[in-house]
Amino acid sequence: MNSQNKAFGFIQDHHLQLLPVILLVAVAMTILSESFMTSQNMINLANRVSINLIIASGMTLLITSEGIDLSVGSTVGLSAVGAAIYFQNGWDASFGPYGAIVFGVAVGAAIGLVNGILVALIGLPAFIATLGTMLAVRGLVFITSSGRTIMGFDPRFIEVFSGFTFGIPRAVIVAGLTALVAAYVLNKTTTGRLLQGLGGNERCLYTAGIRVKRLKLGSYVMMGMLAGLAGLTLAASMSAAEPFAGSWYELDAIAVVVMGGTALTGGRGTVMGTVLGAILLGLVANSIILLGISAYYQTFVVGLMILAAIVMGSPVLTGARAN
Amino acid sequence: MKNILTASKICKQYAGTRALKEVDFEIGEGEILGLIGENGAGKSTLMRILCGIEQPTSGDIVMHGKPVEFSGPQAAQAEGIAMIPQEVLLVDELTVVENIFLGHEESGAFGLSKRQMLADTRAILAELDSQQVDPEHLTGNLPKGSQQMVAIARRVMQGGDVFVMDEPTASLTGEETQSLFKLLKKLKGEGKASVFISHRLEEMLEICDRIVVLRDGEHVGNFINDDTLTKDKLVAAMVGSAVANEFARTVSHVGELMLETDKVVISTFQGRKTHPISIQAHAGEVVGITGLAGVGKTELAHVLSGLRPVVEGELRLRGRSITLRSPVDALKNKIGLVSEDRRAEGLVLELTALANMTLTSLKKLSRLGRIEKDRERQLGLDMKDKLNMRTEYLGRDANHLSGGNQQKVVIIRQLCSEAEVLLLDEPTKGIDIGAKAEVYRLIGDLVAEQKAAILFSSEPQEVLGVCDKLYVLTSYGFLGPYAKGALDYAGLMALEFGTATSDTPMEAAE
Repeated sequence: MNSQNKAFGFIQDHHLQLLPVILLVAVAMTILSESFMTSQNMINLANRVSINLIIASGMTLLITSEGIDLSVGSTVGLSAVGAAIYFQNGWDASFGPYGAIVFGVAVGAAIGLVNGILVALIGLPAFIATLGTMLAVRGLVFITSSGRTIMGFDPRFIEVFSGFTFGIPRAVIVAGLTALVAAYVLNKTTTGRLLQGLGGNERCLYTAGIRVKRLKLGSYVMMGMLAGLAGLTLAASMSAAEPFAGSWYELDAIAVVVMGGTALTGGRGTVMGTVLGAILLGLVANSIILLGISAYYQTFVVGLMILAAIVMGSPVLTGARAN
Repeated sequence: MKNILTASKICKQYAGTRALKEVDFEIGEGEILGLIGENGAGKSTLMRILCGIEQPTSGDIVMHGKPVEFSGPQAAQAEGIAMIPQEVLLVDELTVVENIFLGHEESGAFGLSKRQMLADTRAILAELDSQQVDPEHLTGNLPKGSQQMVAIARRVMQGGDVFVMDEPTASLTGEETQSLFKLLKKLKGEGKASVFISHRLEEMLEICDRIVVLRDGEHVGNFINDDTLTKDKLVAAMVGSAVANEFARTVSHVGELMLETDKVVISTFQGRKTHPISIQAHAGEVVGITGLAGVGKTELAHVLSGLRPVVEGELRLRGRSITLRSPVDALKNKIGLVSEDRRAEGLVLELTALANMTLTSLKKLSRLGRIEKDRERQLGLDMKDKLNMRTEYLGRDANHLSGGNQQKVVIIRQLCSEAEVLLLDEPTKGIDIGAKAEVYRLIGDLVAEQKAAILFSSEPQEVLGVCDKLYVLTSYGFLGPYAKGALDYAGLMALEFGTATSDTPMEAAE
């Protein structure tokens, strides 16, 4: 095996296929735009990528197990509004400013539990069930916020998610830890192995005596909690909770999971691929703005990127997955 | 009588094996022809060739006096051959009338003529005595038997000269079977021929004009159905001379009573209730459950592994009554199922062989939820030595293993999770002879370790050779146990087909 093949094998084994593309875009942007390599732009980029990555890490596990959750964007909104209401109602007087974090994550967990009950226990198709909760939860966001943007977060709360540690934005740290834990769970633990099995052949796991329903239920609760965490990060970065917060985030998350190389048909997933996908998506969106291209093109380009990823990973092209 | 179809010297060669050897076969106008033979005798292969689904390696087919070559099912259909497959192929979401006319809709000047199609459907269903089937009902909601009748009606409606039916009565009630026979006789009156495959010899004797017997891919008997033809003669022709006992194994020490069913009644996939089933499986024993297709072998395996409920009766493990609500309960009780369908049920094809082996024993291989990969790999290496499997296969995706190796992986999973009662449903289906021998050796090793193995199989040589004790499921009763050696091939066939002179099973030697 020559060194070129070796490098190729290493890239494949570690799901680094997107890395050259990312480097290419970054180098090109450094040349093309003076404002790209500025600290302010990098912080903006990092925030955007981080919030997406928190959700996408969970989505990687969910899609690997052949699940999906379309309600995460709405959950982001409800968690953000929930935290705002927490301070508005003065609950921090009794439970402290950090109680808002517990509250936001708990809101996410509750929505995840509803999804889990619908999908795992009642047996609805995940796509339809979470489409329903997506709309219902967005409705709850409008109701609880009365359609207004809410401000008035405690600075200590904001500091947790938007401060810096060793010069690294906290959002990046939160997202990085989330991705690390997700990768650990997927590759090193029994839960991860069973999630892969669930995505590969649910019938096999069921007949073998695995508690399939509990596993599925748990995966949706995990997803809801991460969406809640992403909502808190978003609220802190904007110092405000707006009723449309988190709109379309579910599609961004699913897009980067697919771009990263996780199979929508389940059974195989890669958190590393998702991390790179999130970086690439953030980079492209950022570039379009910096280059002064109309924001309308952003949606178009992201759509093309998803299609390209799916086509390149399809069994027709790779010749894999016979039968 | 003029021949509609004459097939001569038909041979079919699959990689390595010969499924048909110079089979001659003819069907006359207005003839109802029965085709019988044991599993693997070549009945289905011959039918698939006649219907153009497969092409013969050599041989000629002449139809209506001119030579034909069926390149595919459409070609055979164009010549007037109509096949009714064993499995009902209907669209559940369409109504009966839509199914019957699917792809052959009748249309008038203003689109589909629904009224005409409805009337035609009523007429054909009436011919099949199935007036109770509402033509505007969704097919998926009908009972299995009615669905089969609709499938038959659909085929008859489309017309043809030769109707080929593979086990059409398997899911029919007695009355429905009689209605089908009435239709066959009507077709006969119109000069149309039928070829009929069934395991039920009494049905064959009732309806067929002539019965052809296949054995090991050869045409071994051609019987005109007159008053002198009996089931015994047919069974004798199917069985031939005694078969050597290839899979002999030394009898191991029989230990304590493990799994026991006490007059357990189960329902089959067709919704019929079985006769009460009482089996006893001891540690160190291979227990065989055999019978013809459709008697409930797989269903019994599913009941014992928690996939299907017990209708009546009691399950006991080591003398203690148990209820298996789901496979989770079975795993807890150390009962493991090796499914009949490896790819659909037994394996996660995307996971490696090793991950498939350890799927149900991850708990003991992990600490705080983290899989200790060294221990997992060591367990895999230990297991692989029992199996004659190459080390590199452990890391290979299950999808890329041969059928034999896949089956070994599924059995090994039960060893890893320390199952004490193994339910093996057709464990050697579709694997080559070498892998078969290894699976048998593996079963032998298992019982030597004082586990109990229950083998569900429709291969007579297999159960006769491997099992210490044999039970036979039949449509007329549950028979057994028969100790090893108490039955020979002919005796077993006689029981399965219900032609045994003595119905009293010999008691197993204690």
